[in-house]
Order: sequence, then C-alpha cells, then structure tokens
Amino acid sequence: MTDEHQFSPDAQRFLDGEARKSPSTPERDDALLLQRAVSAYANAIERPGPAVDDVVMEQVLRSAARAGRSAIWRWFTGPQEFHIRPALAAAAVLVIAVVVWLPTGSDDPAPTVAPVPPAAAMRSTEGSLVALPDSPRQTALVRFQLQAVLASSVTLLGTFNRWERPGIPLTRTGTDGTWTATIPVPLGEQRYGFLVNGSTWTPDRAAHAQADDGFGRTSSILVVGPRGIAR
Amino acid sequence: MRGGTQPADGEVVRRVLAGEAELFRVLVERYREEFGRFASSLTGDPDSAADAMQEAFIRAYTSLASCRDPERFKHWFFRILTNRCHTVRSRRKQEVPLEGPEPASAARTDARVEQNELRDILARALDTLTEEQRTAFVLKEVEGYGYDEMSRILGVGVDALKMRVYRARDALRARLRESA
Repeated sequence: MTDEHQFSPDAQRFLDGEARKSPSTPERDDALLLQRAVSAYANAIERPGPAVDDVVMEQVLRSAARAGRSAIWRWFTGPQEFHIRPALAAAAVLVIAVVVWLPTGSDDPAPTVAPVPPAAAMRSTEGSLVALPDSPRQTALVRFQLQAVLASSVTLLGTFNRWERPGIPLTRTGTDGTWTATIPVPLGEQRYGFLVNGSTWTPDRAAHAQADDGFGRTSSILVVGPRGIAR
Repeated sequence: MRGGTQPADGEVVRRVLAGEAELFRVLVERYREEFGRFASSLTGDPDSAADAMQEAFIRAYTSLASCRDPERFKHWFFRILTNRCHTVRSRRKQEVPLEGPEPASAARTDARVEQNELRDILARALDTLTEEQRTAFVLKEVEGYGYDEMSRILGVGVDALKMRVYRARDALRARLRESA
C-alpha cells in the first residue's frame, strides 16, 4: 500500500463522523465508496439462528453429566473434609451407642433366673441340687434344694458368692419342708453349703463330693459344665 | 426467570459453576443475540458464524472457572468469540475460496449489481487485514461501536484502536480502487 492510498487525518475524522468539513474531492469519493461498500456488506449480514442454542446446550449438558459422574467418583475415592457441630456429633455418637448396645442387652452376663421345668431336672434328691443347661455362656443355671422341715430360713453360701453372709436365700416350695433356689453358677468347680436359720452350717449331702474347708467345716463340691452339673 | 428480570451475568456464571449447567442457556441466548451479527460480520457468513459461536460457547463453558470476574463475562466471552471467528474464517477460506461478484442478470438493476459487487469486494478485502485490524474495523464500521465501547470490550486503548481502524480503511481503500 502506497501513501496515495492513505486517508488524510481529515478524511479519517470524516469517516469517524467527527469532521466539520468534508475532505477534498478524490479522498471524499473514496471515502464515500468505502461507506457504500460497508453499507452493502452490513445489509447482507444475517445473524446465526437460535438452533445454535440447542446445539450448544446439548454439548454443555452432556459435558456437565460427565463432569458430575467423575466428580462423584472423585468424592468417593478422594479424601474429604467434613465440618460437623460438636453437639450434633455427640448426639450421633449417643444414638449409635444406643443402637449398638440394645441388641446385646440380652447377652449381659448378669444372672438370669429362668423358670425351670421339673422334667428338666438332672438330679433331685433330699438336700441336693438340680442343674439345668443354660445358654452356652460362662454360667449355668443350678437349682439348689435342701430338705429342712423345721427351718425358718435357709441361705446358700459358696465360692460363687464369695462365702458372703447372709448368703442367697432359698424359698420354701412345699409343705414337706423343701427349700429351693435356682441361680446362675459360674462354670467350673464350686464349693458351697447351706446356712439354716442363719447359724447352722449344713453341707449338701446329695452332692457328688465333700471336702474339708480347713476351718473345721465340710463343704460340698460340684462341677458345673456348659450343659449343667458335670459331676 | 420467565417474565422476570433476567439475572446478571455474574450470578448466572456463579450458579453454572455451582452445578446448574442448564442456566448456561441464559448466556447463550443473550450473547448469541448480541454478538451474532458481529460474528457473521467477522466470519463473512451466518453458517461460519454459527460454527464460531458454538465453538466459542463450548470453550467458554469448559473454561468458565478461569473467568476471573464473572461480572465481566461479556467481555471475556467476546474475546473468545473473536478468536474463534478468526479461526473459522481462516479455515473456511482454505476449504472454499471466497466467491467473486455474481454475474449480473438482466433482472437486476444496476444499483443492485453495484451493491453485490461492493459487498463481495469488501468481503475479500477484509481477508487482507490483520486480525486486529479486521476486528476493529468490523466493530467500528459494520457494527457501529464507538471507540470507548470498543476499548472496554477489547481491553485496548482508544488511540491504538483508532490506529487499527485507520490502517484498515487505508488497506480497503486500495482494494476498492483496484477493483473499481
């Protein structure tokens, strides 16, 4: 392009719509020709139709769906930071603890005294015990029995209650002077005896074995297995 | 949003980034309408403009997080669109050479023939400009923007823009005189 094709500053201002006077003839003709060409070009312009919108949005939503799937995957597989209110956290822990504890309540090793059907008795003799199988845990239910017609009270002491007085009370169950108590007894060898009227020590004569306790008394011995008295 | 005030660009951008991808349609409709003519002017035909706009919108969506000032989405998008228009125009020029003036028919008036010839001459002449000159010339002469608005939208000083427009006029003057 040579200098002869350059518009003068006046012509440029004229084309910008700022000039107060029109340029000289040759420049003015070229400026008007340029304006006519621009006008013809501008009049022929058509803007793209709204079909563009749908094409774009289809791709945008597809891209968003892909990004969403990968975002979920990243969330599951990546480290996450959580913000939690301490009060809500404590409440959540409490709820979880209750839910976890409730089903195990029945497994509590505390003594369970269940009704004992007589037909389930393993042994039943005067002044003896009857043991019944308990659930396969650390104790078995054992029914202790003593024939004491003139007694006003009978209690049971043994290794399973650390020989602590007054002992575990037996109940008179009939008119023939039979006293009974059914209690959970830890598995293994146990020693025990009865205290009649709170003072008279009486071993269980129906027990499998008797032994001297070293203090001048005789204690009865029983061995409790998971299914009841072993011997 | 129908029947109510259209949300500002910044709000739309933030909500799209937060996951409401379907809201991007608000921006597509808004700027397809506003810049559609400019895209056609810059590319030379509405089909090329449609291609450029689709590419620009998709590119804007996929890089939306890099739009530092969502309130100025319009200007950010305009620059993406301008680049896509230049690319599409260049690509189209390689595929299909721009046609010369259509032969005059008996049914056409002389004025109509001159209009078409001038239009085609200018279309071809625009290809001889640099991208910066073409953008500035189209905005100023075809779309009727003022220099101040051009400066805001392009992020270029007024004096520099005037220079680009002046150089474009000089180049086009030479082409028109050669073809006349």
